[in-house]
Amino acid sequence: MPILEVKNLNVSFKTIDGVVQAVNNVSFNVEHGEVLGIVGESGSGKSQSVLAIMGLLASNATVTGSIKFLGQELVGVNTKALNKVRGNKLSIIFQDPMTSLNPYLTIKSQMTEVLMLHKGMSKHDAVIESIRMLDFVGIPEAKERIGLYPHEFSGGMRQRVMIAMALLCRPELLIADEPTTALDVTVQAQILKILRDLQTEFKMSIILITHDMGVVANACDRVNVMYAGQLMESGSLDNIFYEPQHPYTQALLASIPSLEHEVERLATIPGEPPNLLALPDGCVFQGRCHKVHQECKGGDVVVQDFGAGRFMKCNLMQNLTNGINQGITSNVVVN
Amino acid sequence: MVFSKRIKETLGVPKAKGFWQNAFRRFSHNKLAMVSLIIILLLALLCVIVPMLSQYSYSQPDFTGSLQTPNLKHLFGTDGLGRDLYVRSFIGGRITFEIAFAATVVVLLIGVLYGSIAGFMGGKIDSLMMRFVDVLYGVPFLFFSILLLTLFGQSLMLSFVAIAAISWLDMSRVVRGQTLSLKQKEFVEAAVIAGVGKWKIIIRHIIPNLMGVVVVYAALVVPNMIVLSAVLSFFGLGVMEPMTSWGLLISDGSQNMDSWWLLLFPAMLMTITLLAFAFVVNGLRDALDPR
Amino acid sequence: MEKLLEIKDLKVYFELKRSLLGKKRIVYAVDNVSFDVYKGETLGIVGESGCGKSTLARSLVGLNDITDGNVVFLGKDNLAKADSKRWHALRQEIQFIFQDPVASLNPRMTVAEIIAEPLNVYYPKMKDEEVLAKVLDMMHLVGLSDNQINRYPQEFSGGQCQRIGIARALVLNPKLIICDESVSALDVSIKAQIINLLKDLQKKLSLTVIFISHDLSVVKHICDRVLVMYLGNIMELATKEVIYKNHHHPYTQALLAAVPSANPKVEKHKHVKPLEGELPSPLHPPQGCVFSTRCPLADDGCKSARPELRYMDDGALVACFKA
Repeated sequence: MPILEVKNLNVSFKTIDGVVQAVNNVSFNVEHGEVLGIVGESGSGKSQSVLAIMGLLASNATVTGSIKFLGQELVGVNTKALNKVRGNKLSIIFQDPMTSLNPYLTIKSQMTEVLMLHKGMSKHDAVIESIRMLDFVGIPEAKERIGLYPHEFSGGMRQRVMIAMALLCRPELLIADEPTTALDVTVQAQILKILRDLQTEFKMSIILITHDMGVVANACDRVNVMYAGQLMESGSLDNIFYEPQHPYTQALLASIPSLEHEVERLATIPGEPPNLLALPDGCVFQGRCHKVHQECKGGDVVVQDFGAGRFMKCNLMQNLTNGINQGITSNVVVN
Repeated sequence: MVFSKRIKETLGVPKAKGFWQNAFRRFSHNKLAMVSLIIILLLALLCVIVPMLSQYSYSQPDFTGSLQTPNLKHLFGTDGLGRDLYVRSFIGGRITFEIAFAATVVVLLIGVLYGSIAGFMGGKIDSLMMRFVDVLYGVPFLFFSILLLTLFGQSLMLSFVAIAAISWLDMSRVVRGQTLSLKQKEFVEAAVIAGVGKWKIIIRHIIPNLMGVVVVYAALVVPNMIVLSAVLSFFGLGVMEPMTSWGLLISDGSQNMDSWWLLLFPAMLMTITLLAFAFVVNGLRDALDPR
Repeated sequence: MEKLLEIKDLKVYFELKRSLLGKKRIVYAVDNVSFDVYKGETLGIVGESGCGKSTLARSLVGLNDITDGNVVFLGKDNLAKADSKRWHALRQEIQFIFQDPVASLNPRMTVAEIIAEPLNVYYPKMKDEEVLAKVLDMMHLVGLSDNQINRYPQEFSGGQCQRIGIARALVLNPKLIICDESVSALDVSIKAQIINLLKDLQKKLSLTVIFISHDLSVVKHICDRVLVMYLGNIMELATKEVIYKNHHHPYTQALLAAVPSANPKVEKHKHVKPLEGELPSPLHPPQGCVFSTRCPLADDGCKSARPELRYMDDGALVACFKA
């Protein structure tokens, strides 16, 4: 059984200007011990879909569909039931560590409180466990530094502290929402290494949300590609990077400047993402797709299931069975 | 601006809806704020026309009909001198509104200019200007007003000067703070790089972007002014009989609790006004600072 | 090659407010930096946050005061000594493109007003028709359409806002454009559009560009030469080919190794240990080489003396004893 099952998830926000369709009919699973990457640009709905999982959406949001975590439905349950899951078996880390750290309390009191509350530990045990966790995420002299306040740590160290906090109760699923976006590359490399180590050490599942294809390539097993609130393509890391089927995925990969290859001009995706207040009929990518044809401009878009957890939402027929390419190779050059 | 009109003529591209049009649209979606705004406008209108159209005068005593309870002829009853309380309440409202709005305009002018100059200039000029504000803060307001009024005799003008003189301080502080944060914004730096001079930056880039906050704050200042002018009247400073204001009416009414209507009606009008302003301020805040 | 900018011993220090009894504290944001910028080239400046690259960029347009040193523009004007009158004239020649495209546009001004503003300042007598024609030229140049001219920035996406910002920077025909992380805030697909636009414009208008970025892949794509900074000091300055293939400095090496590649096979076979530790405080830079606290090659010599920039055989300038 997958650890997380999301089915037909819809998230919309009521605003004065109309209804913003942030997440549109998204379904995916997270299996035990895997790292699922969700990539997309701003406005793709990648963050809103996981905030829906955590029950952390803004008050003007409407959520429909089903989110089952370890078999338990999370959509529509009350805060009390949600709190039992949140922070205990399900944890989240954000781009900005200060959103989850209290600036007025020491790291020690924040960490031990979690353990005493959720695990019923004694103060003494909680302190020992907290130091162990800080050690694990690579905070030097954890024993001394546990008494410090969040602002006394540097950006990268604060990110580590937040990861340590999120891990205290040994969650089964960790959601990381752009955890390295605000960090420098050398610190990002450190944090990504920690996430990988965690995953092998604790056999934890991770959902990693990012806009950076490099981070995905570094850390993920499977990838969901989102665009304008919809799940466009899903597959294994190799599927997505070496045999992308969806025109959006192909174009996205081609537009990334790379360190290994040099091109005179970057491939671009013309135009801009659609307005979430007024999505077009048919495919949301139609305005920017170079393979667009008449049937993309209205009606439902075909979801093609290639098997082995590989699928895409596109009218362009691809001949794949069991997730394996049957001859018709996509005319894309992967950089 | 003229330029955008010229563009419309030559290219046929109309100017897009600006900040204020969008803000008004958002404001009009807030029903409570809209109703409150209408109530305020209605009250202001009544304050103008009721004394004009009524058959009774606010000042002419009628000793044959003193202290009547509210009835069809005198909707709010009459006071000890037999004057119609309905007319007196609205003439009092007129004075109160006049003082409040005039004071607010003065507060706006001084506060915005003073605050934005201090904030934009920064450094020594800023320190000097703000220390001056601090000193003025130290002057006890009531003492200062009483001193003014006893020295120069009671007059409407003077009570209004007293109120305005002390109230622009908050405004200038708010504006200075906003200016300081605007000064850090990239578009102001972009203007510096584009060669725009200091004054032009204040006028074209800082002040237009302050206006959102200023409008919200101004809407907050008006009810404060109403209360302040009432306080002054309550202490017998400011408006002189037979002219009246809400503060004065409430003060009279509270000394004559047997005739409940004398307190009830003016107090009610003032309370409604203050509440309505509170809702309008809320609506403005949402409309002018979306998120 | 003709030099557009000669920077010699540039120092930009910030004094922190003194606490009541405390000592004067100084942030050494840019410390003794010297390099030349040639006409028509695109020079990339890379480094992590806090390395002084943005401070350096801002001091070249007068947004930060220069503490000491010389910055000579076109062989005659010294920016470090320029008064406000001189700066006013120089701003026609040196323009800046900001990081946050939306924040760099006044929300109360229309596109036309924004792009026309520099013209209004420097050509106050220019007729409306002329201004309008120039604004339209600029809009076409950066890929905006006529019907967008009377709109406000809020109606535009980040990418379009950056196009407006570029149009404003180019309207005075400057010689030097400084891009401070100008594409960092944009989404991947939009970023590629703006990078291509900048590259086209640079060629078309024969601009000289200083391109500041933390993103090494973008810099590789757009620049001719690259300058690597760390803690206010230059580590390495060389052509793109040298920096990305045969770099000399261990910091350049570490920086490049840390960039995750959008290629899972490359990532899987990468076995470099990430650089340990973090940037030291610019309040107390290390005594010797500023990189010595994190450098895998550092020895006692590195910790006691600061290496000077010196030429390598391939023309690269490197500040390292071990190179």
